[in-house]
Amino acid sequence: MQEFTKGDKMVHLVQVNYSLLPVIHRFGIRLGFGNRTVQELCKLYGVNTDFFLAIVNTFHNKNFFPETQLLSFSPLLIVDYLKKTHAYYVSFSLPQIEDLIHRLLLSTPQQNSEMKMIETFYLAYKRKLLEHFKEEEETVFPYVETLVLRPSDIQNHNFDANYEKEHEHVDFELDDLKNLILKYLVPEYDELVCNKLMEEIYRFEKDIRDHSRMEDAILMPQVAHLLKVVK
Amino acid sequence: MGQKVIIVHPAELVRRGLVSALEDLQRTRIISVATFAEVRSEDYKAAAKLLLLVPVTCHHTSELLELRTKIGDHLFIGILLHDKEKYKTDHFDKVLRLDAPARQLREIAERFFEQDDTGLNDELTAREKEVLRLIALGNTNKTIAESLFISTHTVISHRKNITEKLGIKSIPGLTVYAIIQKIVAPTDISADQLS
Ligand SMILES: [Fe+2]
Ligand SMILES: [Fe+2]
Repeated sequence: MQEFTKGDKMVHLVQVNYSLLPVIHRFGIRLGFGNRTVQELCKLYGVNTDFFLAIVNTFHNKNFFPETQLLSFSPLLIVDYLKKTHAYYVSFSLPQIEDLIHRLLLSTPQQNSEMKMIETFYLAYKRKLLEHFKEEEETVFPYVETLVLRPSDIQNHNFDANYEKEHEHVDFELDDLKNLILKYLVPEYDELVCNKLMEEIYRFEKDIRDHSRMEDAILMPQVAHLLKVVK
Repeated sequence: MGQKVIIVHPAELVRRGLVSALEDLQRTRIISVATFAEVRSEDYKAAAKLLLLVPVTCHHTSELLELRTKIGDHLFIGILLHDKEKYKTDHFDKVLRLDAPARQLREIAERFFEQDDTGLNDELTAREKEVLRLIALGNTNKTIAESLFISTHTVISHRKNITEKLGIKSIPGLTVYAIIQKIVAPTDISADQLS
């Protein structure tokens, strides 16, 4: 699969893969690209070009995960990107899926009880996920920032978020949500709402998988490394 | 292991007819002999399930009884030639007249072999449903093992099969499935079971 480079025109990225647009937005880069290249626009918006490309390429290619390169970026960049991704999930993906599930429920005969259970399942999932984000934003990310900026302030040198397991649960439950809908939904429902919902779930699943992988495979090893240096 | 059908009947045409009614049952081997004396222990000893068809007039009653003790999961069908034949009802689980429709035998056999635990189809077995019910009610592997008198190891293997068949991995997901399939009532579920 193709790998984007700094000389590519930004508009080309979206033309090749429109699902990159939210990722580009996440970096604060706005439309009106004109014919400017990735490098030019990153400079204009004060974005680290190499980091931008690493993220965009990871997102674009399923098998692309430049671990060594990602590990070389400042943890502050990673944390900043992870926070922006949370914000996108909280303000867009999760409410969007919630709304579509509810519309799908309304489209079933007499608000079908199977679909009602699926909605309950999703709401519980969402609540747990928001707790997870909160924990990261209130505990993990500030810890990483302190570790980088004021390492002498660090009290606890045995920090281990150990949330690989939690990420696995997030992944399993999202997969379960898909299977419950695909396998056990009653046949009477609004197919347009259903199509849209499934598309959104699949998109979100891919996005959050990348996100969790960044936390597990990049951020946590970076923290472990920094802690060794500080000690 | 495996499923076996043993057909005992002196008349070759009857044997052939019985074989053709049952021959395409999946994962099932059919042995067909003229007299009960010809049945060898190799024919059934490794069978998980045994369906035996034998004339009601079969004289090998003690052997029949012994065979029952050897294969736990069995169904013995006596074949009745005409209503005047005398036989002991307690030797057979079912009695079929020779002029019964082949479909009837077929259905009996299908029902018997369907109840297996080999799980090649995606339907949950009765045992797996029971395990699923207990999971949905919030039990741990240990308490499930205790209430079903099985080892936790067996519980884990049931859970693995359930997850593989349904494609559902999480406890909340399994709980929702159990409610949808009416294996548990929504009112039996505690609120935190989904979280
Ligand atoms: Fe996160
Ligand atoms: Fe996370």
